Amino acid sequence: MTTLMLLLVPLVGGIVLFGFGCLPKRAAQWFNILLHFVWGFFILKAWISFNPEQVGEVSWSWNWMPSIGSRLDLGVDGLNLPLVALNFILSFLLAFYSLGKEKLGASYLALFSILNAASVGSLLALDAFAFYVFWEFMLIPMYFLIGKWGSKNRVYAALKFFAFTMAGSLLMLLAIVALSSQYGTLSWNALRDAQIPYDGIWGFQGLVFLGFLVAFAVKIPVWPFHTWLPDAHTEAPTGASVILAGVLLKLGVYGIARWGLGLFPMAAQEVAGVMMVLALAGIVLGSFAAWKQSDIKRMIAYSSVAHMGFMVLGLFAFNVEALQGAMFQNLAHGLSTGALFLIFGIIYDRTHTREISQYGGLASKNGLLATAFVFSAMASIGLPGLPGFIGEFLILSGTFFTNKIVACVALSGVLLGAIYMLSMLRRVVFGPVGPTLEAHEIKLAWNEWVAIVPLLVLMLILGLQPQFLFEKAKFSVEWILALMASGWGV
Amino acid sequence: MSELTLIVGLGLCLFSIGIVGFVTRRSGLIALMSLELMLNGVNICLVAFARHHNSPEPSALVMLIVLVAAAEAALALALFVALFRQSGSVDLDDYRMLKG
Amino acid sequence: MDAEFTGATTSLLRWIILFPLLGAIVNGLIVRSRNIKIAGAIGTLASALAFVVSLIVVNQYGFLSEDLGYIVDPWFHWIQVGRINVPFWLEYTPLTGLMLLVVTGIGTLIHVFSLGYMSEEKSPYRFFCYLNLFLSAMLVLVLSSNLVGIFLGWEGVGLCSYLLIGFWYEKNENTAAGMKAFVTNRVGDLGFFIALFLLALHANTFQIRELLTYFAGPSSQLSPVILMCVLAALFWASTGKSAQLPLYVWLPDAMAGPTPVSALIHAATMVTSGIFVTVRLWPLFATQPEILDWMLWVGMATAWLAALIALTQRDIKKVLAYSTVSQLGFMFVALGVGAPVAAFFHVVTHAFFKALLFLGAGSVIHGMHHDQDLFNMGGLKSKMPQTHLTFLVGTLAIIGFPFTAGFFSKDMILAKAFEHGPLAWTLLVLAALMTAFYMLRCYALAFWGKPRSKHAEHAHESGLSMVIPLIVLALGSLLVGWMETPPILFDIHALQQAIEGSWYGMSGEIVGHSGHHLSHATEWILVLVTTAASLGVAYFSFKKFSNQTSRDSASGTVFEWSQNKFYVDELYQFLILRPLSFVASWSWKIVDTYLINGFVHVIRDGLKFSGQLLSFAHTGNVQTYAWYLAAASAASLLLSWWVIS
Repeated sequence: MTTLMLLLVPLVGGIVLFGFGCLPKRAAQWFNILLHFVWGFFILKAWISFNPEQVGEVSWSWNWMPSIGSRLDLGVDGLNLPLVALNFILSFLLAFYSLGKEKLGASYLALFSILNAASVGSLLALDAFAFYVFWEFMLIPMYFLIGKWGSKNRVYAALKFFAFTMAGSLLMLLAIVALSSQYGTLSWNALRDAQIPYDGIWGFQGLVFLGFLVAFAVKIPVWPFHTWLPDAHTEAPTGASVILAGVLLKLGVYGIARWGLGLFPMAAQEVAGVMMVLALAGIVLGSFAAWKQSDIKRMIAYSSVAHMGFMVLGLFAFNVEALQGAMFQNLAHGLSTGALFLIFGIIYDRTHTREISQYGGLASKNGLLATAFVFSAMASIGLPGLPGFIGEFLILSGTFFTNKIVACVALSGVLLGAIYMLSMLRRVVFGPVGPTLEAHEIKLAWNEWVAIVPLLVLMLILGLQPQFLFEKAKFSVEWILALMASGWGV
Repeated sequence: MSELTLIVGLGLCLFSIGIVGFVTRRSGLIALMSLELMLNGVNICLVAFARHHNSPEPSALVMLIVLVAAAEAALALALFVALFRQSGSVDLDDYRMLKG
Repeated sequence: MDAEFTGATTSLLRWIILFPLLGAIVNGLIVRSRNIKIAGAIGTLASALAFVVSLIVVNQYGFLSEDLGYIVDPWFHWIQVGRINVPFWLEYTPLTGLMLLVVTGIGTLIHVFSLGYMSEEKSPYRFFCYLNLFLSAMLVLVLSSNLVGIFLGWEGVGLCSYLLIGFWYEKNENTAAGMKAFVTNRVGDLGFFIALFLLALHANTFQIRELLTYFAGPSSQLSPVILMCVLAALFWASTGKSAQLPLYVWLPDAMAGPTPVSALIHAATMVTSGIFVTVRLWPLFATQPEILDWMLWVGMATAWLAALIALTQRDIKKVLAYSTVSQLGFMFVALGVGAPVAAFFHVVTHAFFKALLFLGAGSVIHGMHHDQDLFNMGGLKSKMPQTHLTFLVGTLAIIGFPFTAGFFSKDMILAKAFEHGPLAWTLLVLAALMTAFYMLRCYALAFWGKPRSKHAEHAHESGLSMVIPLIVLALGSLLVGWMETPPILFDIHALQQAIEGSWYGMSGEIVGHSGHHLSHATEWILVLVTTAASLGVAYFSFKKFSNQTSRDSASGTVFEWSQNKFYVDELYQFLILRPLSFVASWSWKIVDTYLINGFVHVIRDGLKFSGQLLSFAHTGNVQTYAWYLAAASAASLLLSWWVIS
C-alpha cells in the first residue's frame, strides 16, 4: 500500500493542483509543499521498512490488461528506492524554491507533480508495459513545462526533446510487443525466470535488448544521441532543469540496470565494447563541448553528458564496484548538478541572461551563494570528501578491472572536468564584477536558501558516509551481476 | 446477345456518360445531373439483374437508391444555392478553399 | 584485513584534524567577522589546539621507539564495495609525528604572522577559514593510514591552494594562477588514480602498513612490474604536487597569493607532500632502483632549471619560489640516491628556513607597501632590523652555513649523493653554489646599499605579530639541524631512527645496493670543499650586489632567457594548451553542431519536405477528387479480377 501511495500522492495531488488555478498563486505553492510533506511521509515509511534483500518484489498489483499479459506491478528494491528518494528530495526543495515566484502558479506545479508521479511510476513499475506507459507519460508534462515556461527557444527545445525521446521509445515498444507475444507475460520477475535464450545479437534476446537499449540510450543520453539535452536543459525553467538533470537522466541508467542487464545479460555483454566506446566519446567530447560554451546552462548540460558517460561505463563493466559506483554516482550527480542548476537558476531569476561574458565577480556580490556554487562545482568534478569522487573512483576502478585502457582514457574526463568547471568559475564567480551582476542585486530569500542548503549538506554526508546507501543497494546489484555470470542460454 | 447483356450495356453507357460528365463539366449543376445519370445507370443494371435472377432484392435496392438520390439531389441543390449566394458562381473550379 | 592488527588505538588523532576543521566552519560559516582580531583569533586558536594535541600525541607515543607504527585511530569506515575497502583510519608513526609537529607548529606561527600581515584585509574570516581548512586537509594527508585517505588530503590541499592563491579574486591573474595550480595538480593526480586502481586490482588493500609488510622486501606477493607501475604513477603524482619537472609551472604563479600562503603551502607543507608520501612508502620504493634513478635525474634537472631561473628574477617572491622548486629537486635527488632520511631531513629544515624566508619577504613587502621588485629595495637593514637579522639567518641556513639546520641536511644529501656517484655529487654541488649566489643576491639587493626608491626610503619595521614568528623560525633554522648530524660531527641519528622505525619493521635498504659508506677523511674533505665553495660564491655575490645603485638588472640573451623562465610556460601553451583548446572547439562545432544536429535537422527537413510534396494532391477541387475515386476503384477492380483469375 505504501508503494501505491508513493505513486498516487503526486498524481492525485497534481490533478487537484490544476483546480487551484482560480485561487491566488501562494495557495497553490503552499498546497504543493503540503503535498510533498504527505509524499515524504510515505517515502520515509518505505525507506524505513525497506528490506534490502527483496529484489523485484511486487508489493502492489492490478491486473489491468490480461490480454497482453500485463499487470500494473509496483515494488521497491535496492535499485529504485534511492532514486525515488532523490526524486522526492529534489522536488521537495524545488517546492520551496517556487514559493513567491510569480510565474510558477498552479498549472506549473500541477504539471510538475504529474511529472513526479510518472517518473516514480516508471521507477516502481515491475512490469514492462506499465514501465513503458509511465516512461512515455513523463514526456507530456515535460513538454509543457519546457514549452510554456522556458526561455527564448523553448518550443524548438521542447519539440526536440519530445521527438527524440519518443523515437527512441518506439523501438522499446516494439520490443515489448515481441516479448508479450512470445512469453504472454510482461512481469519483470516472470521474464527473468523465463530465462530468455540467447543466440547472437540478432537473435530474439539480442534484438529485444537493442530495442530497450535505444530508448535508454536516448534518455541517458549516450553519445551520439545527446543533442537534445543541451537544448532542453538550456531552455527549460529552473525546476524542470533540476528534475531533468537530477531524475530523468538517471531513469535511463536505471532502465539499463533493471531491464537491460536484468533480463538480457548476454546481449548486454555482447554490446559492452561498443557502449564503452560511446561512453568514452561522451566523456571526452562532452567535456570538450562544456569547455567551449558561452552559455552557462549549456555548459552544465554538457557536463551532464560527460558525467553520464561515466555511468554508462559503470553499467557495462559488469563488476560490483562499477555497478555500485554507477548507482551511487546517479545520486551524487543528481545532487551536484541539481544544485548547480538550482543555484544558477536563482541567479538567472534576477539577471535573465546566461551569457558567461556578462558575468564575473559573483563572490563580491554574494559570498555565501558563491561558496555554494563553488561547493557544487567541486562536487561535480569529483573532489574527495564529496560524493562525486566516490562514484567516479568506484566506476573507474571497476572499469579498470575490466579494461585498463578504457579506464585510463576515461581518466581524462577527470582532468577535463576540472578544466571546464574551473574555467567557468573563473569567469562567473571570481574576477571583477561583470555588467549583469553590476546591474542586479543578488540577495536570496529564505525559501531559496532552504532549497539550496539541504543539497549541500546531503552532498557532504554522502561524500563521507556513503556506506548506508551501498548497504541498501548491495543485494540488488550483486543479484544482477550473479545473473550475468550465470550465463544461461549460452 | 442476351437480354441481360443489352440492358446492362445500356446501364453501363449511362454510367460512363455520367462519370465523364461529372469529371469534365465546368458547371456544378451539370455535374449534379451527371451524378444522377450515374445513379440511374446503376439502377437500370440492377433492374436487369432482378429480372435475370428473378429476385426481388435488387428491385428493393433500386427503390432505396431512388429515394436516397432524391434526397441527395435536394441537399446538393440547396448547397449550390448557398454557394452561389456566397461566391456568385456555380463553377466548380472556383471552389478552392480546401486547397493544400 | 584490518581487524587483526595488534597495536594500540586512540581517539586523540582525529582531534588534530577536527580542531582546524571546526575553526574553518566557525570562521567561514558562523562568525564571518570582518574584524581581523576575531577572525584571526579563531583561526590561530584552532591551529594552536592542533599543535597542542600533536605535542601530546608525540609526547605520549614518542619518537624513537622501534616497534611503534601500530598506533591507530579507527575513526570511521568510508567505502566498502567489492574489492574496494577503504577505512578512514588515522595512524601515528614517528615520521608522522615529526611531520605533524612541523605542519601544526609552523602553521600556527604563520597564523600569528597573518594577524599582522593581513590587517588591512576586508574579509579576514575568509582567509583564516581557508587557512584552517588547508591545515585540516594537510593533516588528513599526514595522518591517513591508507592511500585513499591520503588522496583525500592530497586533493583537499589542492582545493585550498586554489582558493588561497586566488584569494584576492577581484584580479583575474590571481584566479588564473589558482586554476593553473589546480589543473596542473590534477594532471599529476591522474597518476595517483592509476596507482590506486592498480593496487585495488592486484594488492587488494590500500593500507600503508599492509602494503609495506606484504609487498616490500623479497617475499613480496606483488609482481615487480605492477609494483613499478604503481610507484611510477605515484611519482608522477608527486611531480605535480611537489613541483618537479614537468609539472612545476604552477608554483611560481602561485606567488599571486598572499605571502603567508606562499610560506605555509608553497614552502613548508603542501609541496613536501610528495616527498612525505615517498618516504612513508620507502621500503616499496627501495625495491625498484629504476624508479629511484628516474627520481634522481628528474630532481636534478628540476634543481638546476629552477636555480638557473632564480639567478635573474627581480621579484623577491619569485626568487624564493624558484628556490623552493630547486630545493624540492634536492629532496628528490636525495630520494633518488637512496637516502630517504636525508630527504625528509631537508623537508624539515627547509620548512623552517623557507617559511622564515617567505615570511621575512612578507615583512619586507609589507614595509615596502607591496612593492616586490628587488631593484626598488635597498638599505632595508637599518630600517627593518629584526626582519634583516632573521632573513640573514634564513639565507645562511639555505646556503648551508656551518651549523645551521640547512648545513646538516644539505651536507647529508651531498654525502649520500657522493656515495651514489661523483657525477651526481658534482651536479648537486654546482646547484648548491647557484643557490648561494642567488640567495645572497636577493639578500644583498634587499637589505644592503642605498634605498633605490621612495618605498624603500620610508620602509619601517613590522609589528610584533609579524616579528615574533620570524624570530621563532630563525631559532628553528638554527637548532633543528641537530637532530641528525654526520658521523664526523657528533654522530647524532635521532631522525634516522625515527624514520626507520616508521616502516613497520621493513627494511629501507635498496635492492642490489652495496651500501658502501664514506670514510671519515672523505667526508671531511667533502664538507670542507663544499662549505668553502659555497661561502666563496656567497661572498662574491654579496660583494657584487650589496652596493647596487641602478634599478636595472643585467642584460644579455642568456640572461633574458633565464629571466623569462626559459619560456617553459609559453612552450606548454604552444604544445599542449592551444592545440587542446582548438580540438575542443573543433570537436564541439563540427561534431555536435554540424554533424549530429545537422543530421537531426536533415531528418526534420526531409519529413517536412515530403509532407509538402504530398500536399500537392490536395487541390480543393471536387472533380479532381472524383478522378482519384474513379481511378482507384478501376484499379482495384482490375487488380481483384487479375487475382481471381
